[in-house]
Amino acid sequence: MDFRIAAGLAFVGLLTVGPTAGHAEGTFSAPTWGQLSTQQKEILQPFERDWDSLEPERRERWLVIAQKYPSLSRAQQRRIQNRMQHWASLTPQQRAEAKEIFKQIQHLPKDKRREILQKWLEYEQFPPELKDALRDARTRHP
Amino acid sequence: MNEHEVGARVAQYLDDTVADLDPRILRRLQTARESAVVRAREREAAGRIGWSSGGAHLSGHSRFGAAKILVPATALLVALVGIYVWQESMFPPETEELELLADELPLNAYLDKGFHQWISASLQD
Repeated sequence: MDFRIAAGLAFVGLLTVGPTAGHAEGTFSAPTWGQLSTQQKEILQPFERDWDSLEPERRERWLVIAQKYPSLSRAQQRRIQNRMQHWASLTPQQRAEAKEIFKQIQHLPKDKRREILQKWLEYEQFPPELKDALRDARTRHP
Repeated sequence: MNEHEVGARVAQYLDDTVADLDPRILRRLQTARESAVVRAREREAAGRIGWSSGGAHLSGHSRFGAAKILVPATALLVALVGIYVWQESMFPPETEELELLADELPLNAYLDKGFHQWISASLQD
């Protein structure tokens, strides 16, 4: 019986080590705007005014994004620049919902993803009443 | 901490993280669990036969039986941790956010509930 308890404790240890290790970067304090490098400031320029008021966890996350940013295509970099501030202004719930839809779309085959993009272009042309009716339907049956 | 408390902590942890798992991973976990339950039942039945015929070797048999349960259980747990680590490496939160922001589909498309309704059939295919 003692052996089983020890094994159980070891497993709990294993489970708790994973997530903790994943958030290891959360242990240092996130830098202020003044502490960022010139390159980081250029990439994160849309946050210049609000950077120091962002939660440390979000600042760290943006720093990781800034680190990967140079490896992206110019078109992707432009999209990110245009969307950064809008994304940062969303509530955590809105961001979570957006990420959920993103994940669902990413799991679709490539031709289906292209179809979704086409559907967005069609949706943009819908009259406001039709869009409102669709939003109502979504709210009633999420 | 007793055995029940350890079990409760494990269950709590799994409950807290299960909502974030990919549906395909959930299906694989369900299949693995069902196989483990079937094997456990078979072992239990075999154990009962052993008990009824080998009372003199009860202590040794019991220790062997515990090992027989622990080995596959540990393998399953290691697999669960492996799946968790794999999923984190495939979709770390930072990369997901970066990919979403860099995506061809504009941000408003991910925020508009009317659009989500409009594509709901495509998402369920």
